[in-house]
Amino acid sequence: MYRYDEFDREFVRQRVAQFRDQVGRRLSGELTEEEFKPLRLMNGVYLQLHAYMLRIAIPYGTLNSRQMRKLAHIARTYDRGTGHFTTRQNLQFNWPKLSDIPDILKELAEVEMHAIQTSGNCIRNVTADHFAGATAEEVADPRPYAEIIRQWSSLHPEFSFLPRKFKVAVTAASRDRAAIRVHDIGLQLKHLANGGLGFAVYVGGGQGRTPVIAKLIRDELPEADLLSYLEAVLRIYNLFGRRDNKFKARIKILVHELGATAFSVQVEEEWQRIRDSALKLPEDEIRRIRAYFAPPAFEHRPSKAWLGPSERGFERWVARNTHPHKQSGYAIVTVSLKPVGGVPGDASAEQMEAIADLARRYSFDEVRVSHEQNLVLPHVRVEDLRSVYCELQAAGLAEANVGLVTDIIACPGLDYCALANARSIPIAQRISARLAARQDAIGDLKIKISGCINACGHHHVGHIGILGVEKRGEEHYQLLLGGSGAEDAALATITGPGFGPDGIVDAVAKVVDTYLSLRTSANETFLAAFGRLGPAPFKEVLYGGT
Amino acid sequence: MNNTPTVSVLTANRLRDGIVVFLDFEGAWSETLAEAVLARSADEVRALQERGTYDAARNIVVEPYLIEVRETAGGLLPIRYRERVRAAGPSILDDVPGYEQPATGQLEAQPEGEALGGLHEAYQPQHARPELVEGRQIGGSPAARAPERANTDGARAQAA
Repeated sequence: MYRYDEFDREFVRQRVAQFRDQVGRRLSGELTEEEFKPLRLMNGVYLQLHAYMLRIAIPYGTLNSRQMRKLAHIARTYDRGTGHFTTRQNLQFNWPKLSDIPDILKELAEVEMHAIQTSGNCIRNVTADHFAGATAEEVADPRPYAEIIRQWSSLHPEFSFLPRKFKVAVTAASRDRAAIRVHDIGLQLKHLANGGLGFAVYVGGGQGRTPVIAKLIRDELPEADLLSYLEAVLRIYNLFGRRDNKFKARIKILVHELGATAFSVQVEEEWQRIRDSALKLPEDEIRRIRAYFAPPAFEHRPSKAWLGPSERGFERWVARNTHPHKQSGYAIVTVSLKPVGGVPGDASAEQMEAIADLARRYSFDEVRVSHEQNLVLPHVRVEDLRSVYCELQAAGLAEANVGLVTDIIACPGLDYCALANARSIPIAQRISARLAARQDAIGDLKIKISGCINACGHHHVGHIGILGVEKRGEEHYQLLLGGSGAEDAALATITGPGFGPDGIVDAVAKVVDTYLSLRTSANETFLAAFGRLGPAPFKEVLYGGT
Repeated sequence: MNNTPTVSVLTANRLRDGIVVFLDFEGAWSETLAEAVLARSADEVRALQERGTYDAARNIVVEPYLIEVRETAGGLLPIRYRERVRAAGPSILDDVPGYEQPATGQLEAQPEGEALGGLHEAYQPQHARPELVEGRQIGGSPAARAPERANTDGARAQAA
């Protein structure tokens, strides 16, 4: 994985020192809250419902064990012993004291981490396929490009005050695990017609109050032109994106209002102007960055492996939580952070340490964070699966539910977030508990819950989506069906009138029961059944045909 | 509908640690809503607002604002649900109603064709890819499996 060079180290060190001074001046009263707020946001510090929140960047969701141990240490020392992994492959601490945050940032810098650009109207943490570099489904590891984008976008002087925040996701696999089509820019690494590597570029996707599936504006972008093309897109957005209305300021609105064709024409014009500038990526530089992501020293292992005596729990876990690896004799392990009835995405300090230890011993020191709020051990020898499973069990991390109905995405919701209108976590907990016993029979079904219209819980692309709203001071939940954030990206549609906190749990159970009763076989997934049946039978059972 | 008149309480976050506080009847900032001083008249409301502005300027608290509460037998109850959560803290469920940890081996039977019986003594991730993508089955007859190096498009087609 990427290692800081002297420039990176000095840049982050200076930033920590700056912020320590700024916090000191705020606490002494030298800075007002109005003056301080933009400074703290630039360093990932929010004031949430109950306390400050610190959001830490995990570039393209890749961590090593030392970094994970540091996060555990911070959770234990400065927070309440827990960290929350987010849908942007980041980590949030919900209870840091403002006075402690400079020390936290200093500790993070020791392991080459920071919280810069995890807030504000800038280019945020670049996300990527969490199986990158391990899955056979990809044309190449997309993370070197994500790292190149990270370096280009860090403190980019032109793009530090965009009309709104800007999110970039990268994948190199035909199966989209990075939800690229609901990002401001989605990049799909591919083989170009000329045989070289390049990108399909999708622009203007996003969720929030105006969900939009991104449009393909360039099908074949040579890798050498990646930065100049991104710069052109950002420049057009920065020039013409709306600044008069926060709710219409994202690039998706600009692309929609101009039309994808007109937008891409403007981008092309700008790109032709700057294409051969200093932004051209030299092959040597791509190679230099790629070297940081060179595959680990895989051993030649037999493709078959004895996994030990039969045990149902282990078999379920292998079936659900492992994925084929590109290297014979290895597997990708997803560590579920969705214990049945638990808080999606939360990990205790002890669990983080357990995963760090497993990563060091069994996965070439690598951990990934998925946008589905799980963790991944990307390179585990098949013959080690039993040991890894047993150790995960001991840490309370062996839930065999990846992709199942209890593998729920949920934003922090009203339990933590100052923007939320309704709780997400307790709803997720109750749905999980309600459906857990039947989850294997139900099969693949993604439930995604947001506590407000900002859609951090990705409800628009849930097979079943839930949106919390406030109605006359009370919580209320809208139910949506039929979305997908994968390669078959689709926006879910609202079923009808919403439900209270109890009613929404019942409503989800009814939808699931209806699916089970109408599917053609166990092989017809919920999404396939919904595509065949449409919303009518589900509305019928929810609203009695009204 | 409850017709009990509502009263106002001043709340904010403490600057140093961000914790939710309420102005109490001694003029200090308390972490407990029950200790909050109540404003029942326009003059009292104005006095609270002025105090909030003053303490924010003195860098004691951040973002002071008034919330409406109702006096009940059980204590002060914020009108907005948001403020109830904010006053009480996160509502994460420690003991989810109706949930019982399934014992190993006691899970609901698998549907026909998805049985996980039989061991993965021949666990072959690459061989098993299409089955993993579609039905999460591992095992089955070798003849039904994908070739040794199933290509990406093949797996994709299976998934689609």
